[in-house]
Amino acid sequence: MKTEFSHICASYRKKRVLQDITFSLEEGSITALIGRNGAGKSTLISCLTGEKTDYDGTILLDGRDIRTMDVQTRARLISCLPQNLPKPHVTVRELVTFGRTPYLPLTGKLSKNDEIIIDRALEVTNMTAFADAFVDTLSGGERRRAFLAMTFAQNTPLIVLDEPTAHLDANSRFELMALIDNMRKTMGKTFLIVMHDLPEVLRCANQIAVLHDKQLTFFGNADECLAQQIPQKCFNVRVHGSKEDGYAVIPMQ
Amino acid sequence: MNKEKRSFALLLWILFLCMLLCAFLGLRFGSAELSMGQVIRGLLRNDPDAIETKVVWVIRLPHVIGCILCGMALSISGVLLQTATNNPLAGPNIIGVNAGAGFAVVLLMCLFPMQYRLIPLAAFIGAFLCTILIVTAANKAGGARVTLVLSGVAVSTLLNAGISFLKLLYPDTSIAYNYFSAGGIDGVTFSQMLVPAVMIFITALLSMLLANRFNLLCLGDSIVHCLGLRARVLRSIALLLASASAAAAVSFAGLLGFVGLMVPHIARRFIKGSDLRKLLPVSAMLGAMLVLLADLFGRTAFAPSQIPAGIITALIGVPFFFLLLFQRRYRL
Repeated sequence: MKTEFSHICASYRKKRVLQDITFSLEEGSITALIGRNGAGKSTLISCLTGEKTDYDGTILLDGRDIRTMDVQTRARLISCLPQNLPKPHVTVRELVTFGRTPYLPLTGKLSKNDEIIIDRALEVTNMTAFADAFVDTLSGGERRRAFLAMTFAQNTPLIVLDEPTAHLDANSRFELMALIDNMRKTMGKTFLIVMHDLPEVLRCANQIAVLHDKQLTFFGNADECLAQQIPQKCFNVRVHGSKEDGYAVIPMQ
Repeated sequence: MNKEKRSFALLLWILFLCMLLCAFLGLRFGSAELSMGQVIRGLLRNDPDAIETKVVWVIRLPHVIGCILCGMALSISGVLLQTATNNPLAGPNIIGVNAGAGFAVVLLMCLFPMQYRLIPLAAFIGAFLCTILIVTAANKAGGARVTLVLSGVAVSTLLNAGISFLKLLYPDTSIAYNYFSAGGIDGVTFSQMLVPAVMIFITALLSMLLANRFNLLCLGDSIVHCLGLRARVLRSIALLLASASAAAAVSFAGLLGFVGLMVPHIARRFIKGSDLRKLLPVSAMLGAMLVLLADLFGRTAFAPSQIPAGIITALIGVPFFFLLLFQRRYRL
């Protein structure tokens, strides 16, 4: 499914934060959306998920304007996880079942196919062993994996994640990003991920979209990003290293 | 049927039988104690003129059914409110049910002192209108859960001030209001309960039908939106159902406190998780039992004096409330 942002202009609390943003997401890719705090990343995500509708320009999913879609149709095409996740007192299996909501009747009766998808989402995220555990008893990393399983159960071609590795330790971050990459490869999902950690962005993303001064200042891959000195220009930092050996960020004097 | 479904069905049957037992105790004990045989003969109406038939059909049975309806309605209301506000300490008073009903009753007594038969209707309208006012104000102010609680506090405080003001202007209304605010099912008739019973049945049915959707409210507005539902609409529906259910109970039972707060927490001990499809029926039956037992205790413990059930539930409820506050490990 092709996702196109075309000339998006949007404001947050009456202040213009996005000006003429145009780019598109390749099918089966991971696109990192980066920018300084207040650069408009969350506003752009809100436009995509339909929470914000008062913007100019169009967002097209396979040529269809998302503003013309009803919420249920949109929920079958785009799934989204916010940065701050709640701690509901439900089991992991119940949480993953919530992901099937756009497909279920009012009574919530699950079909055989729903059950298969839920089991698969638990398996892919390594949460099968935690299926009967309560979400509010899990560690931060496990809870994020549980919510990711819910998102996978929603089975949408486009998955939007807002800082999925925030507050996780180094090992959990690697595991989570490896899991996302595996989903992309095996299931052909398209990911749009809001990220802050530059080495992680350069290592994991196929495409990088940089928001700076209300505009899209860069859109391309990691090598192009480094070649154009985007970290220096937009974040006032220098990046050393390579994809194989990893990257290090050094602040500029 | 898998093991989990079987054990839940068994739990429902056990609770149902316990509720029937409590109802039977309610029929048997009171100011005039009847034997088991007399209760059964009275229920079967073997002799329509017999004293036990009259006691059972005119006094005890409406009373017991009133307790069951009231307990069920307030518990269902409590479950919906705690889910909609994601606040384990929410009860019907948080959406202004008590303040709205109380104000309407005092206003009626001031304007039409002889129309005491209209008290149930006034209580229902007052409670329901107050909820609509609070939900509308909260939605206008952004619709967040905390806004709802704050709107509830503000409107309830205003109405309570109104109650005090009217009671000062019209001191005669105090007696009617005090009796109403104590909460109890004394003297209730089948005809008085007919409309509230229909309303309670409809709200219970709709709550069960939408329970699967209401379950999602624990995920927060943003995730609910991404799952293809409108959290604010869903929350408003839950609140209106909660209000209709509690208002129906208040209309014939007065301000019976703490049932809506306590029972959902007790019910959560019986089921795994917070699935409303399980929590609603379990809470309804536990609520019925609690009100039946509170009422029975109030009628028999200090006989011949009769203590309204509302006072007994408050006596149990306040320590329970503190227990909830102190028990940090227990979550909604």
